[in-house]
Amino acid sequence: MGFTMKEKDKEILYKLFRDHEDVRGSSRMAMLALRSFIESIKDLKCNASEMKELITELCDAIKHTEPRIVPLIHMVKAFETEMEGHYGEDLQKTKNEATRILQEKHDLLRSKVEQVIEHGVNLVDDDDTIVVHTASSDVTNMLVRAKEVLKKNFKLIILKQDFVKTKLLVRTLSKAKIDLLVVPEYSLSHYIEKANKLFIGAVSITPDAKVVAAIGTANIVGLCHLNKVPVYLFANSLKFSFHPSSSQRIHTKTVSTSQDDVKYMLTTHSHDIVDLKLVDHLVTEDGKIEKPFMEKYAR
Amino acid sequence: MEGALIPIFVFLLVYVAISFELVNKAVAALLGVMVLLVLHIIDEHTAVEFIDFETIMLLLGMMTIVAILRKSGFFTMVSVKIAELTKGSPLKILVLFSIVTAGLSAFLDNVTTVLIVIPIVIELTAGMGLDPKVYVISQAIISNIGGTGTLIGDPPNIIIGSKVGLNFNQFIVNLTIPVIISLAAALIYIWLTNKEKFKPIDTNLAKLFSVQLLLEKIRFNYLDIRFDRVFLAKSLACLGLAILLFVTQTITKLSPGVVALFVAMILFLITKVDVEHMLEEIEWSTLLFFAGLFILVGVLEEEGVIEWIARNVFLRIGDNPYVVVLVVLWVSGIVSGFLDNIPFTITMIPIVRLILESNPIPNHILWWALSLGACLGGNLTMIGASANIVSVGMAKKFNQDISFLEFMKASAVITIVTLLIASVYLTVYLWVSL
Repeated sequence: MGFTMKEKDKEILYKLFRDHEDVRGSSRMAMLALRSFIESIKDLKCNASEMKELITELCDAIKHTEPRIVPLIHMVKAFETEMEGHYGEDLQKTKNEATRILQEKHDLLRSKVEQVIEHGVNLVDDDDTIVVHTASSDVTNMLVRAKEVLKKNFKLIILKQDFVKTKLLVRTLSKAKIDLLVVPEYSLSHYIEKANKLFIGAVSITPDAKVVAAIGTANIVGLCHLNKVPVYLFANSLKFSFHPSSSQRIHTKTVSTSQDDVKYMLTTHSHDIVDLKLVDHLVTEDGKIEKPFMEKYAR
Repeated sequence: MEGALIPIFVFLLVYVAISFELVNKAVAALLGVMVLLVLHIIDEHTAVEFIDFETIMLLLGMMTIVAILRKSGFFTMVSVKIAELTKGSPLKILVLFSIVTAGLSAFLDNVTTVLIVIPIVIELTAGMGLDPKVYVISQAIISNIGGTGTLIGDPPNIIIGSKVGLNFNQFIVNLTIPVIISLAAALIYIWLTNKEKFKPIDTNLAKLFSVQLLLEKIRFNYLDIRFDRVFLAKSLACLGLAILLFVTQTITKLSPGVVALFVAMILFLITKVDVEHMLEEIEWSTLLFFAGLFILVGVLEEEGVIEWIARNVFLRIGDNPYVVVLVVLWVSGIVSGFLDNIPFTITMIPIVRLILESNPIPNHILWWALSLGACLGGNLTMIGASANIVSVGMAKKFNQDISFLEFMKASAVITIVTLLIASVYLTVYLWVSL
């Protein structure tokens, strides 16, 4: 077939990845991508001989997203390896094997996410005032469970970012009847004395002890660290990357901007890079990893 | 006729101001009325008598029902479900969305329909790397064709139905066939002229994968509203009631205006929506525009201008019914393509009445000719119908600029084809009726 993915199609795909990651977090995004992969294989019409080329093409595209969606990349690499012995002349059989393996990867990721949530729920205490910044689905679910299941009485300071993310967060947390205070991201300094924990998620953790996280996270973590507010990072082990932070392919965009008669070029990044040293507690499916062991764990 | 010079001059000025959008339509029409009142050409009591309140009631009622239904999120939900059904197939996007657009346009106003459908269509097609323009233009065209099928689908039909006394079922019975054939012809034409753009994607795994992610994004963006099931159920029940009362009009003897306003008030009562907020959604300027036009045309009618036009323009074409029907159809079609079809229809109604006095054409065929011409003709240019203007405006918001010529390139042939279909239909209908 000689199919090659066009650059324009790749850009569209990467933008979709970023959009989903932005509102769901990288684990949920990875699960969504695996489900989408399964559905696409089911709908695909091709010859058995074309199957390998088509799957390789898509896997390559997924491995080069901006930024790297590390849990997904780990799963896709494992899927490619496991698929090697299954390409044959029977198209339906190949499809069945592909969907079975992808479903297994999906379930594995889900179980790891669940385990992180289980550990995280126990870190929410009565009378806590927790700062929440771009809460990933995992952190949001954890807070909802702490309130609804464990009946913990805690307060949240939500740092308002863009309308969609904040709306989603407020809706989910209000539904669980959690006591909320929504403040602009830049006003945290006025509330920092009331807070006793900061909860964050991550896209990836790199071997050079850096955390790739949502935009704005670096400032918030820095402020909390200066004010001795403990920073909790929730990330399952599939978020640990083999590549350093400089290779995480963080998306940058430079656009011409004008306000009144002033024109300038504005460069924006899709994600922040935070030093793991500023994180006090790392929570994975293995439980809480304390500061002295974090860097070793990341490597 | 001697005293008619000022009303004619005022009317033409208003017509020019409306057609070239020099001022707000309602302001233009009401300013024209005010000039006639200030110059004592008419008095205010006579002016009010010219307003067709049946049409105003129908418009106000339908606007209210649509505003409340839109709040329920039902139409967005339908559009997202359709997007899912297409699975990203370009041809399915065209066909399924066209069916939904035509269906919604038949029972809602065309502008509301495109306001709901176009953003989802653009998001879906642009997100797949397709050219959204062909889909935007096609949905605008289809909304105008779909709206032709019912009494409440398009303003010219609302005016004809109310002023002439034709009921909901008569519109459906007489216009469904040409509308369905026109719809099919339009879709075939769009497909034939853009075959390359409608290639299937199911042999391309990466595209299928992107579409899955895209559909999830659309679902997230557009269905991210809390559906109040009770509100939705009440709204749909009222829409059902309105359609039932429209259909049973011959039994209940309730005019469409009464039905629409009655159901709208029930909706207000049972949904307990914020009335003040909902009233802000009503297009009051359109209602005032209608009222002003009724008065201006009423004055022309009283001064004998309409009769003069009928006798010196339309009655000169002879008394061959085939010629009369086709002239009304094509004149309406072409004029509506360039000028607003609402004032045109209001002006044409007394003219058609006069033609019918001297040449009684059976089965209301002349009214169907006016309806088909005024509604289908709106597709001729970008400015021919409100739905076209709104669709192009929405496309611009999504960075998709559609030029006047770009629109006309696709729409002109479709308009001619649909008017030809209407011509054949009306000719056969007349031949059977005579």
